[in-house]
Amino acid sequence: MIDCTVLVLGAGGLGCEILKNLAMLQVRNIHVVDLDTIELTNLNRQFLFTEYDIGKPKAEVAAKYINNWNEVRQMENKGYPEVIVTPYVRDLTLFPVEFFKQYQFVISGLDAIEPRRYVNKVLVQITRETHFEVCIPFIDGGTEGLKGHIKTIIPGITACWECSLDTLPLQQHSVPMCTVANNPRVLEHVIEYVATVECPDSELDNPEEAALVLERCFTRARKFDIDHRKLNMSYMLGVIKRIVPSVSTTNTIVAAACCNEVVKIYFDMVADYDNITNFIMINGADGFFMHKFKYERKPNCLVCSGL
Amino acid sequence: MLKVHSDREFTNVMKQFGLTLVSEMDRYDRQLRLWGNDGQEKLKNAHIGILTPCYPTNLIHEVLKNVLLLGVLQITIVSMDSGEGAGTRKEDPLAFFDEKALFGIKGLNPTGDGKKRQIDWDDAKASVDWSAFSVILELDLGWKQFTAWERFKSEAKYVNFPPSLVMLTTGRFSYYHLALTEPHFVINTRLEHMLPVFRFNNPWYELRRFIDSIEPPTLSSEEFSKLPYPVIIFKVLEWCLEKPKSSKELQEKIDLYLDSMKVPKNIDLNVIEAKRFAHLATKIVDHKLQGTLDLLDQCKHYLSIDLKKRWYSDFNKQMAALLYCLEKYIKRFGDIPLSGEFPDMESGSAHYGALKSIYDDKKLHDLKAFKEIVYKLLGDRVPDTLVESFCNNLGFISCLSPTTTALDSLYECQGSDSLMANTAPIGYCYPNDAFMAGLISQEMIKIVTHQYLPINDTFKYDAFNIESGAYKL
Repeated sequence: MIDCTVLVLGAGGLGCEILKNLAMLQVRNIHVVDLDTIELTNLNRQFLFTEYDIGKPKAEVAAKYINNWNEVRQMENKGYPEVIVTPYVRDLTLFPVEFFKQYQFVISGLDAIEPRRYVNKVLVQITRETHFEVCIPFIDGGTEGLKGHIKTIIPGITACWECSLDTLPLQQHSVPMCTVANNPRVLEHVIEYVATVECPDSELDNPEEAALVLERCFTRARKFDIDHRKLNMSYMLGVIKRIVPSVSTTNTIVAAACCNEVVKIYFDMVADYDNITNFIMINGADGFFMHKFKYERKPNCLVCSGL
Repeated sequence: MLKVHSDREFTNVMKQFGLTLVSEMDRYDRQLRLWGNDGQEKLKNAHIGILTPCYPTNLIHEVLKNVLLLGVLQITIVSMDSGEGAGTRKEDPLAFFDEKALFGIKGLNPTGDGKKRQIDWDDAKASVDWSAFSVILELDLGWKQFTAWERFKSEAKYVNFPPSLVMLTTGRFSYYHLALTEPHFVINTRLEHMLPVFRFNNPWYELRRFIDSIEPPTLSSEEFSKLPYPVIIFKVLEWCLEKPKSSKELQEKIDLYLDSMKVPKNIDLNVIEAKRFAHLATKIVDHKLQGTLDLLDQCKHYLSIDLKKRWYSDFNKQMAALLYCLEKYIKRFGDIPLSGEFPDMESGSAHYGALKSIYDDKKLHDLKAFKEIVYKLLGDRVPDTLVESFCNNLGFISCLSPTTTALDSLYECQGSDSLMANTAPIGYCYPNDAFMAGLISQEMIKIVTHQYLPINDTFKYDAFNIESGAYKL
């Protein structure tokens, strides 16, 4: 049993896996925060949900699943430690610093950058303000297709999330707007123009509006004589929403490695925190590549320097 | 008039008419972006066999969870329970999933009529059609179970056994091994950064004519800046008296050529690209052709157009036949069919579109010529879609040779200082099972879809130190 309280950020592909692993590790208190609701495209990997849950908040449904599981397990096996999940359906950047102090671990399965930066900043702040009396490990998982990473952040000791910000790819478009507007050559240029110039306010979750945007893409592709055999709704949405491919297996692997980090820290199996290999990169596209290394702290990091 | 009252009813009505469901495509949208409809169809039609010391265990539940989420519908579990697991594997009382959560009406794969069959080893020996499986996952078999299985396979001489994906866990250490009884062909390695081929060495008539139609000296600076970089390289190669032998030499020639036309150097992005990709024009043999020649050499013993020959996998047999046809094509035309996407590059829309369509036309022309060879040698026994996919993926095709080393060595060296050294269990830890279940399920995807490169052939994972290694047994 792991007698502590863990905060899980996100109840998506990684979040579901992390919650399940923590439950099986018998972590006594698990809190999960996620603002999203369940969509059909989640169901190829987010196994705590079914099609009957579509539209419901992820955090609540995930918590209910595990709490039900706990109840059944308690009935069948009296004496087993309880596992209780508490859901929060809200923007995690609105939680005050005090909220985070109740946790012994924070594990992130988020796909966005800003919430992770916020949590990282808060956890470093807690360590700074308490002079290391409260130092909450922050384990960050991320996946894209068959690739993934695991970062272990011990605030004030290892590199923080901000220290490694430059390792992330730029979020901006690599194609200049003049090309998109005047010299479109490929479908991506066509879609980018329609989405940002012709229909900037379209609500793509509305099928009728999405169909209209798609039609405009066809029109513009024809206008510039661009090969549009690949163009369909899925392709268009992939470009506009920058959809990241995702599969259950990579989520399983990365979430397992994240939870392994929790086990190692909780059971005091880390011999030397100063030299902990805090970064793990994996890639399953060509065999299975796994590399771990020590990512050094940045002396001039805007968040953790001076700590 | 037909009325439906729920999604499920609607789904059933659609199925009656044999229509592919939009909802099914949406469900798998995020993974379709990894292996496409063809890969998904292969997963849907796959039949996964699982050999295990006992059922259920957390490890099997983790594997089943992944396999079902991927869209697989048919699973047969053979329990070889003899009271002896690889390590301490017993039925796990603390299961996370129950059968209803995995296979029930609200289960993990509601897209079709999934079939799960569970059978004991003694019954399996008599009744299971092993060649019907797409792959067999051997999950933590003990030594006695492993030897019983190996003995059974060697005695069943007339059965074509599918690839075996073997997993062993002993505490913090886990092992994965792929055992192939025949070559395994990968139709698309999905490598992300393949360089394009422009045929700088041997431009064909239409391409030559297009290049000749552009006269840089007559272009304004603005017009010149809209030329695609392959055009600049072709023009420089034409201008040189002798073909540059290195990319540095070609880059210098590009500067001299621009000087001769009074075009400023290193300003236009298309000129910068021409210099960056100069190395594509100085090789004697294009990288895709070289890669294909290497592949043909690796597979020379397997190439055959005898489609009556017994192979476990029709797909592998057809790929071997297509490679045989490709060898004939190269002998006849001196190159492989043109393939791959024409990449985006700095250029005006009109020039880019014109050049792209010349390459696209050439691809279609080469495909037609390749199909003629295929029809002549194989008739219509290989589906057109596979021939087209084969042609389009040249450069991304790979082959794993059959396994030659018996897996006994992995078991036998337990306790020695070899691969299985330091395997003393440090206690059960659920995430280790989850990690390896994710890994073996991912390798299953690669074998079934014939996409991405599988682990070849052994992988060791140390959960405590998060260290891994790949080995060839």
